[in-house]
Amino acid sequence: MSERDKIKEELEGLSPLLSKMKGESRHPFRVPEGYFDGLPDEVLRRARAEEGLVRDGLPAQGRAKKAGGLAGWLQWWLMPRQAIGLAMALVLLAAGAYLFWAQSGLSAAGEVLAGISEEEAKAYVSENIGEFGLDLMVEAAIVSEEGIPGVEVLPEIDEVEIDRYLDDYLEDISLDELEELL
Amino acid sequence: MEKPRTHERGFRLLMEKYQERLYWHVRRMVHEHEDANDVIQNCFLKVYRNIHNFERKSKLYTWLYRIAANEAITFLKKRQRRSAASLEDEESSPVYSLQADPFFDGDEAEERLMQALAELPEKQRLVFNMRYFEELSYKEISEVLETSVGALKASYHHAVKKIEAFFKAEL
Repeated sequence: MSERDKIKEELEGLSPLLSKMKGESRHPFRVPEGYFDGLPDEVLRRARAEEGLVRDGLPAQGRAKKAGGLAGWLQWWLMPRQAIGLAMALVLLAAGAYLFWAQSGLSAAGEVLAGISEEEAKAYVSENIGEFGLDLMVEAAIVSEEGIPGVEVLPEIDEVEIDRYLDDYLEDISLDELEELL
Repeated sequence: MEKPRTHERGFRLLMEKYQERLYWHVRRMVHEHEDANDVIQNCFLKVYRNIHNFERKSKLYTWLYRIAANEAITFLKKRQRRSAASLEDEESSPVYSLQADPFFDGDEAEERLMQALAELPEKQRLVFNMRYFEELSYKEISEVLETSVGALKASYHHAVKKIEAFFKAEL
């Protein structure tokens, strides 16, 4: 049985109405005269136009890749999009390297400090007290929650008391002494 | 690398051999000549650009048919989206388009059949057209649409029943 007969038999079983319609139907669509004769030319014209666009649209990229060698490679990398990408990659690389080395430095310092006993540290601070600013010492005292031996942080003094002290002091001082001080 | 002229000559031969069958396949899906012309040109442009990718795993005709079917479905989906976006009026409905198409000279029954087909889901319409009009075997349709024969039979049967119901409702 041919495929056409199989289809006919199948359709008769499914829908006698459609089977009858199929037997009577003809081709209801038409095309403009000579349409198929001109279609290959039209498609080829469009294909050539597209190929031209591709060639004209990507001149630098195309030529650079075709040029080959070091010059072509450099030309390709210096195109705006590639250059921006390359610059960003270098910036990210530099930032990454900086963070890596900074982290390594910190951990190295931490390792060295871990090897110093508390007694040795206190002795070092006492001997070199002149090199420590007050802020640093206060900060250290806060961090360790202990005072630094040999150093007393000034107690908090009320501003009224300071003014009173200065008034008393200024009353006892002569004008010459005051000019010298100023 | 093949020479462009040889490539073009080969392509022209391929078009001359298959263009009519593929055109009618597309035309039955989209109905209007202008739309079918756009779709078939896009289809052959794809073939022109990708002929070197044809892997010979299937027949050349099956490969071409698949591209045409995909292009037609893509076109129909785009048209549906446009219609939905413009709150489909009478002029954009498929039946109205057919009546206005100077290259459609079917009688009333054929027009109604086209109207019934326009209501089927795209894939079901594709299967119906390939079986009913183009008289392809289920095996051939299966190769083109990469769908099992069983699923295709079910799809065709559903399509026939829906079209029959459409005609009965009209009576």
